[in-house]
Amino acid sequence: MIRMSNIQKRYGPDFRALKGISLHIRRGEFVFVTGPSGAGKTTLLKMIYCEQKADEGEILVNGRNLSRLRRGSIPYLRRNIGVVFQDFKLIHSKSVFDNIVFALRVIGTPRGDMKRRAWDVLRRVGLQHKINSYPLCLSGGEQQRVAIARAVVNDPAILIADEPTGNLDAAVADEIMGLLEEIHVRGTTVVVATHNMGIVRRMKKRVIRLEDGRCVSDTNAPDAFELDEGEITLVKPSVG
Amino acid sequence: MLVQNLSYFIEEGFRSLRHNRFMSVVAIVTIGFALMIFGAFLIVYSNVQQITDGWIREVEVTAYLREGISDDAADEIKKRLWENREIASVVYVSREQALQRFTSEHADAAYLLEGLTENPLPASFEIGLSREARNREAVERLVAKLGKLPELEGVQYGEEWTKSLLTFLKILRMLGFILGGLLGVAIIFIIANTVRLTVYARRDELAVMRLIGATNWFIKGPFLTEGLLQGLAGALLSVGLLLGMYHFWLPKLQASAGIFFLQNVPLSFLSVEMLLWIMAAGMLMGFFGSLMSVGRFLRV
Repeated sequence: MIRMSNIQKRYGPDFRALKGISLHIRRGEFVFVTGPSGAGKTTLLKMIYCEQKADEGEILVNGRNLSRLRRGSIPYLRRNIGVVFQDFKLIHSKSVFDNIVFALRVIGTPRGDMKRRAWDVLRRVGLQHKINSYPLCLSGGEQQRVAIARAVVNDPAILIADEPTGNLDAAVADEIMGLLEEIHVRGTTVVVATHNMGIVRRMKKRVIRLEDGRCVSDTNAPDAFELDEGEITLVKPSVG
Repeated sequence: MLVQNLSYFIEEGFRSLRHNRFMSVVAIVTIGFALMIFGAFLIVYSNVQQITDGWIREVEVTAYLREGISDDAADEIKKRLWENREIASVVYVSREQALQRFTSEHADAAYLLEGLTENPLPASFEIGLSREARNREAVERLVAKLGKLPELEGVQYGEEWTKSLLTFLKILRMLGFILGGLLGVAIIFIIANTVRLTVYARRDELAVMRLIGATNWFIKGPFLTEGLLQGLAGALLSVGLLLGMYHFWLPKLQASAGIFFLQNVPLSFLSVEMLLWIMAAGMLMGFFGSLMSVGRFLRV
């Protein structure tokens, strides 16, 4: 689904954000990308949805070679990739419902289908009772659920989440991760960047660890003890 | 989908105008006045052109025949003259007709002809110019051509004043281009600025649109509509202002004997075609103004 080989990315002449990253994420996988701040997690994710271009190396997403992708084709690639951010990026002047409908309108969904699909996805994330609320009237967790609803309303093949629980407390973070797991179970490939090791331990998924722009480990469903205990952990691991 | 997108663009364009009410009104009024100045110039120009067109239409070239050319030979020359594209009409004035005309037009100067046994006046052709020949170069070309005909003795036309009239029109037209160009650039910048404010206010929304797969044209659409609407509203305002000026102010100005040769001349308003051009120009400038702003944003 996502294949990177020897990706290099520089910001300016002095800072190398990614130094020869190669990895393969298969269809339907759930992968965590971890590492300290500045390790290159966000840059790596941005490469997948073409917000950044690699200076060297090749990226294939869903069979498409991104280095050969024309500018005009980028929107169509993104329609197949849902993205969720730490700061939600909702449109504050639109209601919850209109935020979702807007995402459908942008990609040219027929008017008749828009309302039904928006309603369905809001029910999936448990926000059917908040459709008329505005984002700033919602809690952080609720806003993130709206953002997830918006990201998956188009049934994308890939869901990318960049620190989706960064602004949320432990209980809400678990809820959000539960939601991402649900989406994964339905067949979507999910890539989550986080430095919340508590979540990573509990989810028992594949973990790709970046440090200083390099991939230092890539382990499948690691044991809690295999993970670097030196990580800054904001959340205490819950029991069970 | 196209209809759905268009209705979305128009809806959003109007929403944006409402949202930035103050800036939009300022932009529309400024565009209105700028286009009004240009429209007023067009009115003056088209009227001056109409009047001078009448004058130039009356420019006649008179070609005098040498002595001793018979009426039949003159007929032959007339036919040859007709072959010139520059010539719209040729009237032959025989020597007798010339004399008759002279005596009737200058009855008080009859003494000039006293004592003459022979008619001193030459026969001539009065040549009217075709539409495309009503400019200085064509007239001079024609005169030079006629000068080469051996049967003709001399060619006369209202050389001096035709020259100055045509130069005046040329200068007026050039001024029009400069004025139009300057006002056009000003309008594009006014619209670019107001749209830039909208783009800036909605930059988060635009970032979201890009992330969820909106094409560049879909993102630009509402802003381009906003620019188009501003341009159109400004153009409509300018037409309103011009109509007001034409009906209420111009008669008073004319009556007060202010404007030299336009006094007591019925002045016409802009043609429907010209008005449509002003609207189209307003919309086009609005379109390009906003394209400049939003294009720059999307390149970043």
